[in-house]
Amino acid sequence: MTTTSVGTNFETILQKLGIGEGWVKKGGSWFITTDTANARPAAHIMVAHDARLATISSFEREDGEVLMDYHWSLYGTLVTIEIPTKDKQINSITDIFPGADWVEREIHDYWLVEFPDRVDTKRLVTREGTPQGMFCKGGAQ
Amino acid sequence: MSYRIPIGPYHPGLEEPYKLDLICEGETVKDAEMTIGFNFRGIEFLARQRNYTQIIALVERVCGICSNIHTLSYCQAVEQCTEYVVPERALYIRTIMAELERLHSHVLWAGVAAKLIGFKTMFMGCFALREKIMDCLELISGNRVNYSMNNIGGVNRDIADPLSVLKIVEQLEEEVKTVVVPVFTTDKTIASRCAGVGVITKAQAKAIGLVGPFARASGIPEDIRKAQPYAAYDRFQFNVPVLESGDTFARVVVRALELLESCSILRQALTTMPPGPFKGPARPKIPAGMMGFSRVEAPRGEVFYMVRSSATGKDIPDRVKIRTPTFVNMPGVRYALAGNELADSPLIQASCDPCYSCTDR
Repeated sequence: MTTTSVGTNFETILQKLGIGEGWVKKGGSWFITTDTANARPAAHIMVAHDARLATISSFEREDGEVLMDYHWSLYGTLVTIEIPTKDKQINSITDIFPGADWVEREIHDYWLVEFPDRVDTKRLVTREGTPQGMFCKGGAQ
Repeated sequence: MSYRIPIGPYHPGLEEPYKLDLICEGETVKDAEMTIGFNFRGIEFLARQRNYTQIIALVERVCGICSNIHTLSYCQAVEQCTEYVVPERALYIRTIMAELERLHSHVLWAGVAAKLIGFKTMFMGCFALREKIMDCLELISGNRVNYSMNNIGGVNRDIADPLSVLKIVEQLEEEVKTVVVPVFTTDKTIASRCAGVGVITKAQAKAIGLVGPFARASGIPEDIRKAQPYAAYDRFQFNVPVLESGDTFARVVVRALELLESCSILRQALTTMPPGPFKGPARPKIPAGMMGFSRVEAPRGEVFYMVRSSATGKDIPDRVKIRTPTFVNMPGVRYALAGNELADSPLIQASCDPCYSCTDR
């Protein structure tokens, strides 16, 4: 049996990740915004550093694009990478981190975000026959 | 030749409403497909129509077992949007409630596991013990299920006489030490029923992103109480039990040992509670355009909340995101089932300690 011990110089780690400049501490998480519309490079780096995807939270902007906040637990500390969709599409990261499967399906249910390279596109929490996109500004479709 | 056994969504063999399709060859499970959403209530959607205080009552209904942890996590996320400093006494009360809830949840799970193992006497023993924990929660909060303890910036009720609660905790600890832990860690029937069953390797657990005791039984040492301490956890000495074998027995043992650690935290908290205020502001003011994140270690693992305060300064947040532990743990059951006997599938599912009220929200 072992016990947990987490202690790191976190700012140094973030700089070494190579995800970009501009990390800020926001609301209890290290936070960075990018406009790449591609979550995959950051996901590769995070997984290479043994990070765990806590979840992806999402929020619709005024222009209809969805802000995707990828929340990673990196050495026990919360790190958020915010990436907006482009034409309401963003690449899936399930092949990099299989644990992203359900949350991507849920985001499609709620916001109608498309993950073009996903194999499994089944609904998660809403039932067949009920409208999807309940969180979208125009309501469910 | 493989065949498919559909189970659920409402079936006497499943304690929770979800649908499981087992793909079997002979008596061996080769794969499993899960369908969820039968308890979907749209709580995140409803949160966009309630003010910050009303949402506390809403998120308390996410789960009937760990209701307190949801209000705690939500309040912490809102507090991250503000400059409120939670009083020290309130932090201790939050910790005590969270640990009593963990005891209650783990003992409930132990009872369910005992029933599935076929150990009915232990099932009844665990549920009798759970009643005592619920009595203790009622003594503090006035409620046995939804405790209404947390508020933005503090707690609603004091623990006026911590030493009377301590007496109950010491009695509980005695039962845990002399009955629950020895039975679940050393009994041969339990070991023979659980050892080597439903194994999830450390590599699989990492890939799926498992959390809580389910992950710690597969060698992943993360516990949010240690990694990012909240409430008053950084004031107390406690261990995080971690086992490497990744089987059902490891999950049983990890939870049993966590019961002892919870009792230890409770004893420390109840004997060192500082005096002082405990309430938050009567009408909390949340600044516009802020984001707050909160993670807490619920009995089943990490609960995650994200709150985006209103961009226009309204009293209703723009977004509340809830991620519960079963949402990330349940996909792991597919890996745990593969290659195991069909007859073991109920126990393997239960070893994840699933909660579909949480998962579906």
